[in-house]
Amino acid sequence: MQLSTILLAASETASANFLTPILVMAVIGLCLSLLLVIAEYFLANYGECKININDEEERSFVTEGGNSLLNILSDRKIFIPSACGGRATCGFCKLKLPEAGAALPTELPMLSREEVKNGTRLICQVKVTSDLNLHIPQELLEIQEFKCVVGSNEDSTHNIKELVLELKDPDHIGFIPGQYIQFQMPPHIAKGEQRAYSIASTRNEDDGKKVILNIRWGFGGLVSTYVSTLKPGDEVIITGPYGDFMEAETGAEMICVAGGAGMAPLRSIILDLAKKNSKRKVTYFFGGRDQEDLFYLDTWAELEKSMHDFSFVPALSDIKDDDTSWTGERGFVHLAVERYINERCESDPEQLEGYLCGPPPMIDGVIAVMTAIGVPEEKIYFDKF
Amino acid sequence: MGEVNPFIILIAAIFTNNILLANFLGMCPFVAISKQIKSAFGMGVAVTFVMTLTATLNWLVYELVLEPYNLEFLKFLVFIIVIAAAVQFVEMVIEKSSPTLYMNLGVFLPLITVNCAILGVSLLMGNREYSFIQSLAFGIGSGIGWWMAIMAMAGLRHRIQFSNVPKALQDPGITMLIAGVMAMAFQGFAGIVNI
Repeated sequence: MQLSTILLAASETASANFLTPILVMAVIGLCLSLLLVIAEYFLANYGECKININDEEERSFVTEGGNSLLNILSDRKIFIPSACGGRATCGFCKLKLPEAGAALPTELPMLSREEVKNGTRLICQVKVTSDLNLHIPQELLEIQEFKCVVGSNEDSTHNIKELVLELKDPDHIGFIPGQYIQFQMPPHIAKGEQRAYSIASTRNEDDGKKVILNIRWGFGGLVSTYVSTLKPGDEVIITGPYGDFMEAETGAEMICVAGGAGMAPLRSIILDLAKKNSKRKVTYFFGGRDQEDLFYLDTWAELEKSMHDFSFVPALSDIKDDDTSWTGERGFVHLAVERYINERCESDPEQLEGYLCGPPPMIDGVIAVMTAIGVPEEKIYFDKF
Repeated sequence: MGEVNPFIILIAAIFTNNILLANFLGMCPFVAISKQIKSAFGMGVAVTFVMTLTATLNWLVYELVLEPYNLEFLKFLVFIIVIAAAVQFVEMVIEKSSPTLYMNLGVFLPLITVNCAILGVSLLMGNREYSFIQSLAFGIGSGIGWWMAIMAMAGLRHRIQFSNVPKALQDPGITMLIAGVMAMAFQGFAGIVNI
């Protein structure tokens, strides 16, 4: 050991005694860092990995291993739905990937037994360490990134903002009413964070050049708090459209139920029905605590007159018994739905279709009530958030 | 202390001189990670492994580098650096070899760096002038002892989950009380072996 002879020599010289501990520490530090660098090189180096997409040569690419598949794909402008931003809590970024190994414990709550068996993974939890063959459905490959400018950001209610985005590049979006977009946080505030918001504007509203979102804020959420502070002229980036919550074109009577920001996709769907001059019977139940929670009331009043058979039924849960200023439904919205189907609905429950969007307890309550009456579960479409 | 049988040291470190219940080292993760048996198990495995690894590494560094140059006073600094590097290395190995275990251990693994039981083992073996084999036995024994103690605590906390604990004593409070009673119970092993 040459180093040890140098050290010994140093320590033997009386004048250099104080140098010995410094030298020893330096050598130990150096050796350990060297060891870790070598370990890093052998253990954390995955080399180049080829990502093959749908066996299409022009989409396939080679990338540096070690990153999550979701991030690698989004760097390549391939946007797989993900509402939670890569924390395995939304369960949207599912792809079949048998060659990437078994699902991690963090993913299991989001996967069914069948999906675990057939090798479905949440790709935000898949670290790319080898070549992969992906099969990405065509509609996901059509998802685009849009640069937008905030047109307006006004209060709809005390806790819901109506955010209007003007699309700049590309300058229009094609989507099916009921779908959602992902709002990307600017990298200097929270890199990689994104949240899903349903589109409240409808097909070809303003020629698809604007997107309207209903955003609930005031509960301390990172993204919603940021969005609530946006001002006209601010630049933002969204991706989309995503999602399969949309109208099934059957002609059956529709029971729509929403609460809070769940308003958005149903506004889009119902405005689209109005535009198509649809003959479907539509009843739209909207749950809230008191009158302050209701919004877009002018739109609904107008549609009740102009549409073939549409009614808007707000149900408020916090109205006092002696308050006579409210003449509509009282109590939770799922009970209003139950009363309607049992007492006034002319269609056979088996012929009804449910379209639900709102907070999970509300959705669960409405699904329970509707299935108990006899609405087939597969005809209840919902979007929980 | 050259003559103490390493096997005796191993048994003593697990029972009579349990690093957690006799010396009360490593209390922070003991209280924090003993809510669920599964995470307590993962933490126990990780601590045992790192303790064994760092006990031997630190023994080598102490005997081969610090003592020859009369630099014993640097041991705190050196031991902590060695422990940090060892934890980092173990983390890399586990991430590569078993992503599942890596995800299960989560943040517990890096936190071991500042687990005082780990540093305690390295310092105690120096004070007691153990040989290499004795240090190895002491490291393994202390790790298993800590593992056993946290598993026992996780089991007990699981049992009292629905008990009517006074509000002021809930969670950390009752855990400290139980740890005290456990420590007293472990005194029953005293006298079997001694180090």
